Amino acid sequence: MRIPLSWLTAFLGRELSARTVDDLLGEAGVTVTAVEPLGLLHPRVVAARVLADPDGTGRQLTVAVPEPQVVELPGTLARRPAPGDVVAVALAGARLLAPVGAAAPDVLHGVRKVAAARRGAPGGRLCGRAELGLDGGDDEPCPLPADAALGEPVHPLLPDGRREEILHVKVPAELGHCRGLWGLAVEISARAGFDLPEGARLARSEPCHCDRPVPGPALPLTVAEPGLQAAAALLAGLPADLRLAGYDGRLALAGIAPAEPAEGFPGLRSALRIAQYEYGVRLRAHPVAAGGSVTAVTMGGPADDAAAALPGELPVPWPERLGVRIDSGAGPGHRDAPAGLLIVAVGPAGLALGGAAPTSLAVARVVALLREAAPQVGRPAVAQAEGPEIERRELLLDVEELTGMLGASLSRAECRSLLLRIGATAREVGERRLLVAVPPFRPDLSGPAELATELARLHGYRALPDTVPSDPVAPRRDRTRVRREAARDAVARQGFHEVVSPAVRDGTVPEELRTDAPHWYGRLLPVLGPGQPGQAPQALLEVRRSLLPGLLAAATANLRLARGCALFEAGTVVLPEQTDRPEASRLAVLLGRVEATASDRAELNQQAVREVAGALRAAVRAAGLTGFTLVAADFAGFQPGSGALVLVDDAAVGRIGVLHPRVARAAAGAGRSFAAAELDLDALLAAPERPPLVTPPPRFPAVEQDLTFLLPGDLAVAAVLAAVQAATGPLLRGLEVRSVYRGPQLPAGLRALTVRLSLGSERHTPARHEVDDACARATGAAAGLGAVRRAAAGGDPADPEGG
Amino acid sequence: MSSSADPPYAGATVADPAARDDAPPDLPAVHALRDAALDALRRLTPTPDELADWERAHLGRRAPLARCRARLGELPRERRAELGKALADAQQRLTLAAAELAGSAAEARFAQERLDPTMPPAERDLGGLHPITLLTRECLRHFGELGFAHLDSPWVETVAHSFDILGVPADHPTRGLDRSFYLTADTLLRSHTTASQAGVLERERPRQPMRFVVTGPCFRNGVPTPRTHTQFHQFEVVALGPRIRLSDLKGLTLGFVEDVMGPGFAPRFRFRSFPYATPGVAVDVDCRPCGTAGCELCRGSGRLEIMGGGLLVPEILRIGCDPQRTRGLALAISLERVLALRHGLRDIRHFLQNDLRVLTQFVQFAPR
Repeated sequence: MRIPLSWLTAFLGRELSARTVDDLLGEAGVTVTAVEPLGLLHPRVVAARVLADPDGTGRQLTVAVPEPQVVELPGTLARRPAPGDVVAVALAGARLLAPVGAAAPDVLHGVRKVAAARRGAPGGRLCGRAELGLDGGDDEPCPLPADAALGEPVHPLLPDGRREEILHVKVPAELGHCRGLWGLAVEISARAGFDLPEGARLARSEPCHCDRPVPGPALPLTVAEPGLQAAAALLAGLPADLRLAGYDGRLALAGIAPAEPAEGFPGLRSALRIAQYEYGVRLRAHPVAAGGSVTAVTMGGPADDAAAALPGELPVPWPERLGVRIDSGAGPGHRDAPAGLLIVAVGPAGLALGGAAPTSLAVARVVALLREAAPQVGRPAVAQAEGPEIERRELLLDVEELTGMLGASLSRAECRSLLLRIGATAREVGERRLLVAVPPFRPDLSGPAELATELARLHGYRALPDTVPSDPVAPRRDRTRVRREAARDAVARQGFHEVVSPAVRDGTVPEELRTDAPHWYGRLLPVLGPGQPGQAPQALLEVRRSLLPGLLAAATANLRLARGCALFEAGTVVLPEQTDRPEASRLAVLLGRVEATASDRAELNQQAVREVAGALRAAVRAAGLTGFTLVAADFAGFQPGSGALVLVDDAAVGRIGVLHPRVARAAAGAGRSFAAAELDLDALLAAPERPPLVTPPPRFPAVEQDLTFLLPGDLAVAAVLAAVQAATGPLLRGLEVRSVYRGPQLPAGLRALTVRLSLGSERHTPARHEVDDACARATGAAAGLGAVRRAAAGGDPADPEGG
Repeated sequence: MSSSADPPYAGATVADPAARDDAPPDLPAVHALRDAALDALRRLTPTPDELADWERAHLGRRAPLARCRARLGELPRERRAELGKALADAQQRLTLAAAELAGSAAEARFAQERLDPTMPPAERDLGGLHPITLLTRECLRHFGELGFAHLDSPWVETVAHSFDILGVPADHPTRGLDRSFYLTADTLLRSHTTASQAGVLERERPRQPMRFVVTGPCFRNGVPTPRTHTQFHQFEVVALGPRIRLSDLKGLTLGFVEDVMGPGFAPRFRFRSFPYATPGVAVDVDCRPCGTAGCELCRGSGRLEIMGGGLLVPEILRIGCDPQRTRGLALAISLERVLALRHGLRDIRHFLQNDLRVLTQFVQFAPR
C-alpha cells in the first residue's frame, strides 16, 4: 500500500515525520517497508552550478556537482538558466514529482525516476519548480543561493517546499481496519496520545450530516448478511461529466489510477476511489431509474443484475461479499443518464473506531467530494444499517497469566481499556480474569493466546520493561567447538584469510572442475529448481560437496587484483551418500599465485605446498593433536606427483597438493597456480585431544649440523626425514628442512634437500666424534633410500657442504 | 689520529711486562699498562669500530693485562693477591671507562638521529578471520555470559522442521521451489535457523530451564540485493523456562544492540507475528551507512530490521517440553545486516564476495 505522507498527516491533523509514523505504525504491527522521498526531499536532488550547453541543442546542460556532469534539460522549461547560476539538479536515481497526467516511460504513480546515465545520454535532470514540489510551475528552474554547497541535497535550502514522501506499508491480514488511511490514523493517534480532529478526519471543505451516525433511515436499507454493516446515500442531479479537481496527483502517488472520462462519471469514480482508499471499505455506485423511487436496498445477499454497479471500485478485499439489490418503482436506471445514484459502502459490523462507522464515513466522504465539485447536487437521502447480529465469541482472559507472559504489570481495568480500542468488551470474572467479547470482524482472535497477543500489541513494546531470562540454567561445555575455533585461528595466524563462499551455485561449473573423486571434488549435488510449469523440477543449481570450488573461485577473483592470495574456509559440505547425517565439516586452505615465469614454477609450487601444509599442521596442533604426517599419493584434480595424504595419528584426515593445471586454467585462466588442501574436521576432532608434553630447556647447548642430500625425483622428502629421524640416534633433538632446491645447477630430475640436525644431550655437550657418528648414521639412512649426501657426490668428503 | 690499521695502543711506550722475556709483572707495570690504556682511550675517536679495537687491544684475551693475569702464578705467593687485585682493579677501571665513553658517544649519536613518528603506521600482512566468524564469536561471548550455550545444528533440514512444525501454511511462498533450495522432496537447505530449533528440542527434550544458540548460514532462493542474499547467516537464541517473559525478549535485544553494536543505533520494536512465535517482534535499528537519510540498504526508511522473534507457540514447545509449564522465546539475528550497519557498509553482498580489500579491513578489528 502506497501512502503519501501528506495525505496521511491531513487525516491526523498534525505534521508527523515519516520516521515517527513508521515508529507508531510499527508498534501497531503495520510494517513500513520503504520510505520514498520525492522532489526536493530526495537526497539525490542536489545543488549544481551551470557551466555550459555542451552540444548547443538546448536539450542538455553541463553542470558542476562539483565535478562536471551533463544533465537533461526538460523540454517544458521556458527559461534556461544562465552559466554561473546555481540550480537544483536531480541525479540518477532521484525521484521527482511528475506533472499530473504525465505519461512517459520514466513516470510511474506520479513519480519521475531519473534514469542512470547511458552512453551518449545525460546522467541527471535539471529540475523544474513543480517537480520539486515548489509553487511556480514546471517551466521555471529553481534558483538556489550562489554560495550553496555543490553536490549537497537542496532540501535545507528550500524550507517552504512541499515535503512529500511515499510510505510503502504492509498491513497484516488480521488488521483489516488498517487498510485505509483512517484506520492507520486511528492506530497512530492512539499510540501518540492525541485525538483525531473532526475536520482533519475527513479533510473536506463542506460539512455533511452523514459523517455521523444517522438517527433514522431515510432510505429503506437492509443488510441481509450477518456480520456486515452498510451505509448508503442516494444522490440526485449529479452531472455525468463532473470531475474532481486537484485529486488526480494525490491518487497517482497512492498508486491509484485516475478515472478515465470515457467511462462516464469520472468525478464520481474518483470520489469512490478516494473514499475507499481513505476508509478501507468497499464502495460502489448504482444508477437508479428515472421516475421511480427506491423502495428497498438490500446488501449482503446475492448480486442483482438490475443493480449493476458503475465501474470504478478499487480492489478492497475486505469484506469479500457485496451483493446489492435495489427495488424501485421504475426498474433499473440507465448507466449513462440515471436519475439518481445510489452510493453504498459495506464493511464489517461492529467496527466503529473513534466513535464512527467507516462505512458511514466513507459514504459521507463521497458525498462531500461530489458536492464540493457540484454544489447544485442536493442533500442526499442517507441510511446506515447492520446485518443480523453475530453472536460474539467470548474468551476468558487470565490477567495474572497475561502479566506474567508480558513481564509487565497490567490491571484488569487497563486491559478493558485496551480492548475497547478494537471494539471488544470485557467484564470481570472472579478475581483475576476477564470475559472478553470479541468483535466479529476479528476472527483471528480465536483463543486466549491470540487475545493475549492482541493485548501485547495494544499495550506496545515501548511500555514493556527490559529484563533478561531469570530461570537458572545449567552451564554446558562444548569442547569440540573450542577445538574447531582453535584450528581456525591457527590457520589465520599462518597468514591465511578466511572466506565464506557460496554453498549453492548455478550449474555452470566448468567440466574440468568436475571429477568423480568422492572426497573433495566430486560432482556437485543438484538442487531442485522450479523448472517449467507442468514439468518435473530441473536441477539448475548445485550445492557443494567440497569447500575447494568456492575457495578456488574466491582466489580467482582476488588474483585479478593481486599476485597472490592465501585463503581458507571452515564450513559444511553436503554428502548425500551419508544417509544418517548428509553433511560434513571441513577446513580447506588454498594458496594461489600468478606465475611469473615457467622456470621457477616447480620451486614455487613446492614452497606453496609447504606453506599450506604448515597451515594444516598448525590447525592440527591447535586442535590438540600431534602426529601430523604427509604420505605422497595422487588424487583426481591434483597435479600428478604433487599430492599427499594428510595423516594425523596414522588416520587419514585430508589431502594436499597442487591443483591440476587443467583445473587451475579452467577456473582462473592460464598462468595461475594453486596449492590446496582440505581437512575433514569431523574426523580430525573425533580423535581425543592430547595436551602437548613440554620439555624443559636443555642444560647443555645443542650442536647444529646441516646436511645436504641429492634426492631422485620420486623420493619423498618426508621419507628421507623419517629415515633420518629414526637413524640419527638419541642425540637428535630436532630435524628441520632448511631448503629444497631444484634448478639448473643440479642434474635433471634431482633435488637438493638441506636438513638441519639439532644434536644435544642432557649430560654433556656433544663431542665432535658423537656429532660425526650421528651425521654418518643419518647419511646412511638417507642413502638407503637413494638420497646421496651432496658432498659425497663430488665434493671433498672431509669438508662436507653444510657441515 | 688512530685507525684500525694503526691501533691506538701502537704508540704506547710502556713495555709489556707480560712478555715472556721480561721479568714477571709488578705493580708499577700494571699501573703503567692501565694508564697507557686510559691514555689511548682518551685519544680515541669514539666510533663503535674504534672502541671495539681498543677493547680487543686492552681488554681482550691477548691484551697485556690479560697476559699479566696469566703469569700471576709465576709470582711469589705473597705477591699474588696484591697484583691480582691491581689487575682486577685495572680491568674494572678500563671497562668502566670504555663503557662510559661508549655511552656518551652513543648518546651523541642518538642526538643526531631524527625519526618521523608521524609516518603512517606500517601494517603487517596478517591472515584473519571472516567478519561473520568474528561477529559470531562476539555474539557467542555476549549470550554466553547470559547462560546461552552454543549447539550444533545441521544445514540440511527436513520440510517438517522447516515449515510444517513451525505452522507455515502449505501455500506459503517460502515453501516453493523457487524460494527454497530443496535437495530432495523432503529435505532442503535450511531457510532459517528457526528450523533447527525443532531438532534441538527433539534431541534435548529439556526438563529444566535451558538457553541455547544455533547459528550458521541459511539459504533462500532469490536475487541478491543490498539487503538480502541467497546465503546469509543467522544467530538464533532460544530460552526455555517457566518464567520466560516478553520483556526478556526486549531486554535481550537491547543488551545485544548496546553490547555488540554499540551506541547510536536507537533500536525500535515493531509488532510482528510469526506462525511459530507470537506475540512476535521485529527489531529495527538506525541505518548508520546513510545516517538515516535513506539508502538502498534501508530502502529509504532510515532503519533496517536486524532481528525478529517472539514467544514460542505451544506447538513448538510441545516437541520437547510441556507447554503448560514452560514458556519459550526465540530471537533470530541477521549477522550480515548487523555487520553492515556497524561498519558502515551499504551492501551485505560484500560479505559473500570475499574481496580481500574488504575482508582485510576486519583483520585488525578488536571485537568489542
